[in-house]
Amino acid sequence: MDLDNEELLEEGGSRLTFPGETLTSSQAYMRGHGTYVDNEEVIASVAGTIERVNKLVTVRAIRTRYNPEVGDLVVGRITEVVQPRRWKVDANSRQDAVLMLSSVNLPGGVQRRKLESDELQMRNFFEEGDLLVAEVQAFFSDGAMSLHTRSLKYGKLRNGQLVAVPPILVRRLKSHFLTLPCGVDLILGLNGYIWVSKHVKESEQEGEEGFDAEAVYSNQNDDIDESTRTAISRVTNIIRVLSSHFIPMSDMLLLEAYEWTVDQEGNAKDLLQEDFGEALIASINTR
Amino acid sequence: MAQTGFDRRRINGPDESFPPIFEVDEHQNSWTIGQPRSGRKPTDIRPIFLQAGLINRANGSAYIETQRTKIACAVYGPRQSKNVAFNEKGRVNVEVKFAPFSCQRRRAPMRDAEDRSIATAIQQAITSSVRLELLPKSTIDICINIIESDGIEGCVASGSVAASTALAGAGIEVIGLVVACSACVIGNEVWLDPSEEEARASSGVLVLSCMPALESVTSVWQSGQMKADDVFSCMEACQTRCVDVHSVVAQALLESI
Repeated sequence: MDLDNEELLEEGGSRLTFPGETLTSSQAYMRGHGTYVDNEEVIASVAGTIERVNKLVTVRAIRTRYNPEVGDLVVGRITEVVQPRRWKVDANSRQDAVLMLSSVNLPGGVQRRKLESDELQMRNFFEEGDLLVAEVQAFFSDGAMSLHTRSLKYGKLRNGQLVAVPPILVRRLKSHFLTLPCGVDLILGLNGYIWVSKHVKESEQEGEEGFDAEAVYSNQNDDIDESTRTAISRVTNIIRVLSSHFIPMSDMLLLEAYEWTVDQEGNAKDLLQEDFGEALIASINTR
Repeated sequence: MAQTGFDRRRINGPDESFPPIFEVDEHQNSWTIGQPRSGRKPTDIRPIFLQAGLINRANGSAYIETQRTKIACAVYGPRQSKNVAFNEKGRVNVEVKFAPFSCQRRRAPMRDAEDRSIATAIQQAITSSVRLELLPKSTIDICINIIESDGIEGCVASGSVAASTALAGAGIEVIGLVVACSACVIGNEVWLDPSEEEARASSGVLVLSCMPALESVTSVWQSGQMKADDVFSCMEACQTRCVDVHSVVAQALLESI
């Protein structure tokens, strides 16, 4: 079944396809992600929407693993401490990501040299199961991504909760660090992992000079009061509802949804009931 | 404890038990060998219900039902292989499990090799469709749970269809959708999609897996006695029917996204 050009030419159109379907001739168009060429024909290899930019035809799968790109912000979980000098991180990708000891900030000054003792006490920085926020630095030859946390914004995560959504729902934003006025910080990882935590005041963030290893690599949660806990779980549940209805995340949307739930005077757990969630979606759509 | 096959890891029933006796067996068929096929034509298959994406935790999943064959399939991955040497290509693992209540007689867990032979057949049918060269060091795990079984051939065919649907639903790159159809030879007729009873009465059974979109065959699985001519006519009949199954799968996929 050949698509006629008119159908393909319509940019931003969302026509669905399935694997094995012939999209167009490879002489007129270039193959992009999610397609392959056989017999001079461009054929879809995933189920999803066809997208076309000029002469490039791609198919975007709806539910898929995260495809990393350099510079992306990701939230991940340490799965392994491996020699030499690296951690393995689960970042919802096809392969485990790698975090090198040389790409983390070490206590006692940013520009400090690595010592052998650092190598021996890697578990003091990150241990198996720890959550962290990092940036994709580069790729290895086998396609595995290398992360770095060489910024004060990045590092170990605490005081919060993780939610996983399909990666396609997290769009690239100006900033992936959001602060909601309800005293909740959000980190939208492009790999679909979202970290919801207690708000940290700017002044209390670990400063450049007084880089405090104790605080940065601490495993202890701060005291979180009752109202913040409620706010965190409310935001988490909103994200769950949005992801179950397949709505992309954005700061405006989350804020509106939060205000709506507060107006409704529902508990955080009410959101997980189906009718309440649907009412939320309906109210967002009308705005 | 004189009980044979006592399993310490599971809750076991009482020592002595009796099967319940039902007043009417609703599946009782009055069909006997030599009669024409009851219920449908020789080239008809059982109606298919297929739904993609019902298991939330999995990356992709599918549920298929063809009358008394009911199969749930989940796909996990691609994820990094653990503790294996570097491999430039990905791997596909297939695991088949029977529910204890899936057959006429209770399936004790891990007692026979039947599930493994089905897993091999499905793996063969599916693997060549996956673009494994794009997934170095990775593993895809396919878990197939047979909830109700009506013949091994039906399980292999429906299992392959479900697995392929789940793979596509997981966003894994495949060169095409794999669909499968079974056929058996009874007398000198070819009957498609035989039930357990029909398969038992037949001389030979064949399962054909193919990708109708690319017009290629991924695997042929044959058991029993068949003449070469019968094999070819079975394959042809399966192939034409697979085109219909393919449209069902494509429809189910498009509905799920």
